[in-house]
Amino acid sequence: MTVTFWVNGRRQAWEVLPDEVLADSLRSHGFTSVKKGCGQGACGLCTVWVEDKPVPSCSVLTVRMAGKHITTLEGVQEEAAAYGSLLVAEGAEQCGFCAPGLIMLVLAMKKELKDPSEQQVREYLNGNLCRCSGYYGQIRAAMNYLQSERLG
Amino acid sequence: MIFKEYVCPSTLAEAYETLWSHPGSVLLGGCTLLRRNTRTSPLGIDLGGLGLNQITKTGTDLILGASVSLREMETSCGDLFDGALCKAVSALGGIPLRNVITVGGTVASRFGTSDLLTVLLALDTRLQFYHSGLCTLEEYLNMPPLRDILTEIHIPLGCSRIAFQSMRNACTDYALLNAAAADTACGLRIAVGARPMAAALSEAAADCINRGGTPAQAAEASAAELKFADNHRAGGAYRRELCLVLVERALKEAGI
Ligand SMILES: Cc1cc2nc3c(=O)[nH]c(=O)nc-3n(C[C@H](O)[C@H](O)[C@H](O)COP(=O)(O)OP(=O)(O)OC[C@H]3O[C@@H](n4cnc5c(N)ncnc54)[C@H](O)[C@@H]3O)c2cc1C
Repeated sequence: MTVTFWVNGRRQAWEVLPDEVLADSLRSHGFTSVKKGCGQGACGLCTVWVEDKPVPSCSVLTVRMAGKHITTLEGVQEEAAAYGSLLVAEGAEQCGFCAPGLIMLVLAMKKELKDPSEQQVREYLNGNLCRCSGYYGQIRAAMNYLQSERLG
Repeated sequence: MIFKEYVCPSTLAEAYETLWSHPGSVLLGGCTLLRRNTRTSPLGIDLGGLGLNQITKTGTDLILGASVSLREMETSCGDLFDGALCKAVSALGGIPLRNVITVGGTVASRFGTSDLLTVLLALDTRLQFYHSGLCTLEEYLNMPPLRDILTEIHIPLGCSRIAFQSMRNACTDYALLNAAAADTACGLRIAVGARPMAAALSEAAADCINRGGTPAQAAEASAAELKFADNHRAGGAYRRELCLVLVERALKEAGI
């Protein structure tokens, strides 16, 4: 089946299987920032945005994307670098495998929540699993990121 | 592989006709449970083109279309029912997953450990099916498999107080047991779920309170009345102990 949609602002027409999931379609077309962990929607590594909402791309059918706008980490390099450097500064970046999904979720959170408390940040980021760190560095980096964005 | 062919009907009549004319076909909600299937279906029928994504309020009911996502429900209905709908889904995966999961798929699948089903049962929820019409959630939970399309979930707004309680080994894990107590327009309703069978009402617990019993006595009545079973998460006997605690807590939290 041919499905037409936008990835990072560019129109794409891809040939996909009826039950192909977005994570596989994106990776096979070179969007390898999208990582695959559990393949069941539990780990958050494959998070991308569909119409600006974060979704686990392993659990979204590509055929359903017709006419939609998809954003991957490749499409938000500048913002990703801003949060990424704070993540490194906190020593929270170790193997790095969960970082693309986490960054997509942090950037989505910044758009959705206004001045969230640390508890709200924790609740929002819950579901993005990391097997290296203990989440504290990631949360500190997220709080620092929101603070730096507020100060402009 | 979860299905071989895909269709996205634009009317309910077409979707229903396709469901019956294609043996083995499956209706697609958010597909999160379907993706765990080991069996491949010949046809997936997408419900996403039917406009079932509305949230409306009538004078008496909150009506959720079957395709409304859990996250849409949380963000639009957070101030209703003492926040119980939010509380019931807050442990379910992360926000990205809740952007994908549909209310319809959650209810239709009668998932045993569901927290949302327990809250909806306490709230005396009705379900609208395309062909079979309206039934109570309680009737649906006790029905043999129904090959029909769930279109809407009707939650009566007449509930004055509700509380939800659950016990889990980790805050994002599945519940070992959950309970909800609600003071609704048609009386007190106490539901217990993840037994690990899906939610059931405890009439005995409600009767106990109506006759002037205490929350602790009502909890004992529910633990004696309902069935609990073993699975890899917990034993039935342990669940019965949890029932005593959670039902009492839910009743006290709701001020009943
Ligand atoms: C990582 C992960 C964690 C989870 N954690 C929890 C948890 O903590 N607690 C919990 O309760 N659950 C949990 N779940 C289960 C979750 O609740 C279900 O996966 C979800 O509710 C299914 O909804 P869906 O929209 O994706 O349905 P689908 O997977 O699309 O459908 C489920 C079933 O319902 C049928 N169906 C769908 N829509 C309709 C309709 N409108 N009419 C009739 N039939 C229909 C489908 O054909 C299918 O048989 C978890 C799931 C995942 C993947």
